[in-house]
Amino acid sequence: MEIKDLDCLYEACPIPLIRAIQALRTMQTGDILVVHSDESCAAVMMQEWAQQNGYSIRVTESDVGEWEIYLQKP
Amino acid sequence: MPSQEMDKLLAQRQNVRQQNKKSQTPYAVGLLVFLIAVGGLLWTKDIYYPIFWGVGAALGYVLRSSRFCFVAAFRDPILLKNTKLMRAMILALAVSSTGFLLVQQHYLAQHPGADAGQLPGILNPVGLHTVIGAFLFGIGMVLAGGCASGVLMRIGEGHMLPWVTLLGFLIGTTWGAKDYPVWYHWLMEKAQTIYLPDVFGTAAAFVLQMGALAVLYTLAAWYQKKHSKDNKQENAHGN
Repeated sequence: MEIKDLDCLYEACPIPLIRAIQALRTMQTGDILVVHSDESCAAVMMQEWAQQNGYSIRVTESDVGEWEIYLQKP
Repeated sequence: MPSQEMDKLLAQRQNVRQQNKKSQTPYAVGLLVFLIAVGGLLWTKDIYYPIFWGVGAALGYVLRSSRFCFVAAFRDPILLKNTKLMRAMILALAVSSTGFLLVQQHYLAQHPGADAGQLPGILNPVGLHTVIGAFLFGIGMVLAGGCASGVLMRIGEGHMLPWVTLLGFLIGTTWGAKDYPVWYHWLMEKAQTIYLPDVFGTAAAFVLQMGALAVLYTLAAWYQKKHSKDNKQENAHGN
């Protein structure tokens, strides 16, 4: 199991999700991607996307106005 | 899908980070005091101003909490095969069409023989310019990551980038106003203002509008379901 961090700070919606999808494509089953974003919409959008595509997801507000989104490849 | 691994990783990082988040409560209290103070100041000018002020602030809050984003409503069906916001928009259109029809009927009862252009709800002539404008606006809003309301909401949220968009917006609208006579002459002069109740009759126009929206809603729901890997989970989803 590999853990990969993806820095998407200061990227506007929907760039964080597009970059996450691209990163997940190169990863193996069970690997975890941690997306860092300060776009509050990104977390909501990714939750929707994860649900629709069968990914497990966790979201935490790591700092004021900054979120960490954990995605595990199924 | 087992995700205990993610929970473990999350907890690990949370421990390292400590609790060094600054409290936002003082800002919230400050903002509330500011809102009330301005509201009180406006009250001295006109009794209706604080109501507009309050509704504006409430709308901003609702827009932020609901993540109702006009850009995402049109972008996500194409980009992510997700039509949730588009369906929300179709519902909003159904509600506002009904509301505006009532307001317009009331207006027509008081002003018999009023022209369609005078009705509340700002009816504009439709034509080629609508298509061109919508296309240009669509490109712009996706690049900017927000329409007018989305940009204002994100500025309120504390983002810096939308200030650039707002500047562009101000320049664009000013420029548009300057060139408006030219556009009007080339594209809009011969275009007609179409008010559906005038064409089909009030009841038929209402049924037609609702029917069209219902068809669009069903199509949007079907489209998302078709592109979902896990339909059961979607239905169990609460938030």
